[in-house]
Amino acid sequence: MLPIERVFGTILGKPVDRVPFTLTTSLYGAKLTNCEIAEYYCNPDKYFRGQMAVVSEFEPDIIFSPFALAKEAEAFGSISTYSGNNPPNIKKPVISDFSEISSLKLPDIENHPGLIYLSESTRLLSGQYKDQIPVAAICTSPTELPALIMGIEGWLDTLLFHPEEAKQLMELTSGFFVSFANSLLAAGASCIVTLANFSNPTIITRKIAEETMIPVLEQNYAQINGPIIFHHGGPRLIPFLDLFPRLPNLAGLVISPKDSFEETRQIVGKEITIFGNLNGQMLLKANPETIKKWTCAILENRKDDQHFIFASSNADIPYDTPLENLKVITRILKNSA
Amino acid sequence: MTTIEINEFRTSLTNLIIEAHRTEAVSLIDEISKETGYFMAINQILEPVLIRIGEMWSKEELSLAQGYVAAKITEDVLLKALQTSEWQSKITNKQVPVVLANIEDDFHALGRKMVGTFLQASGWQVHDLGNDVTAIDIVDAAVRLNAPIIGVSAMMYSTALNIRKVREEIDSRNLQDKIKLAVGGAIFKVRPELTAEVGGDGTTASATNASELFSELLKTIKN
Repeated sequence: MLPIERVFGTILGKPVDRVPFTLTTSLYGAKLTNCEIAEYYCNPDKYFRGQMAVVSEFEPDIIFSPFALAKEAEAFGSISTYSGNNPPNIKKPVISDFSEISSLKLPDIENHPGLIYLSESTRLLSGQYKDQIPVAAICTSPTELPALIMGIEGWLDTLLFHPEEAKQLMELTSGFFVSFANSLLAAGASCIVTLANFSNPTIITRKIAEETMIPVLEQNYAQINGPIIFHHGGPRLIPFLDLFPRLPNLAGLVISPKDSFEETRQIVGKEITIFGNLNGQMLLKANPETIKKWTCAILENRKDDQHFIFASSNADIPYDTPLENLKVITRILKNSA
Repeated sequence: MTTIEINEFRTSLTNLIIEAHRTEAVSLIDEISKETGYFMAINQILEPVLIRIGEMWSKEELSLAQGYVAAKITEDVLLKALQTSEWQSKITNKQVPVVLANIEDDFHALGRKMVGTFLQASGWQVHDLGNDVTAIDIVDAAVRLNAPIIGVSAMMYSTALNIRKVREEIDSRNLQDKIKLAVGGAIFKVRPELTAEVGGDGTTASATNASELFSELLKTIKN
């Protein structure tokens, strides 16, 4: 069975030969190809080569376009830093205060270098693998992007105390999200992954999620020409989980290592595919024997779940994670008939 | 104020913070301060509420948004209190100086600013050095200001590792008994073992509890 048949078979609830799996190895491709970080996150060809190395080393059932949210914020004018062995991170948001929102302009998705990098990386991966391995393209949702455009403080302050301006900013980011996500699908992405790195229970209240964020996502997801996977972004999702099943085009949820599969399944029903929930950050320091136990425990827990894809949760697997720590996972998964 | 009244005010203020009613919360403290003065209102009502909010936040019963509302209310109240002669006479001259900064390469200021606000409300003299500050500059500032506590913040694992340089700077100058290192930021909630890894003397899971942590660390200073 090809990875693409395995993954979409699982999403549709059809029998598959084994549990599909993916690891968040967007960054790890730089390590495998010994590529300098700034180059890896600016040159699509370097990223493509990194992901080819990922495929050759791990044979995952899903591969990723660059997990580099800062690139989208760069298109609005935010300044990123490319330091250490990490994906780019926002150094200076383009604005910091709600009064500056009206100065923002919709980025030119066809000509901005950061967006071209993301699209071109997706196109190269899709050109190579589309008929075999699904390419998941990361795209920041309109509710999260403001935190990268005006900083967490600025966005929180606007949401809490300036609702009209918050609405104005999300109208702008919605326009961007719909165009850019659809352009990534047109470039060959099999699905879009959006993250809740801001709209999660550790940062916002349920009232904000329910009354402000979900209606915006509902409206935006409906305009996307492909399936969407909702990623927990870091913290647990459970407290907001009941809000998600109503989102259009939602094909799956990546849950946090702190979320329980049983509770998730109970809340979202039987049809939505659940991805997770091996803690990707813990792979750096754990030993292979421990990782083997974690992996087997997850597989045992989900053995009767037809809509389950094994995945590392959280952000990118750290650059310095020993190769053997990942190989132990892939060996188990490939034998998990 | 009777104990019953104090408890009622505390409950009302807690609810206003949780519901993000900033203006109403500040008005409530203003009303109380008309009777008691700002020093008492902050000491008897706001501070205990902040400790309660901090406990709930640490247990993930509250979100950052609610912690942020608490910080903004505290800021609003402090701004008013600072303008009164009563506050000046009771607080200013007794403050212990402390230094806050985001470590080199870290640009996530929110947590640090909130910690600064809550520390000020508890009477600490806060010297905020801002984002992306080197270990040398942080320790130099602490020495210059005679600050017994440094609070350093980082959001991500990679930048948190730079806090080790502050530890090394303190140790290389043989200041470990005179200056204590408090560490914090989102990553320390996810990986509590990181405090020891970077050489921190303590951490707290919520900004509102920073004053408690700093008080504990102050007790360990050897003169």
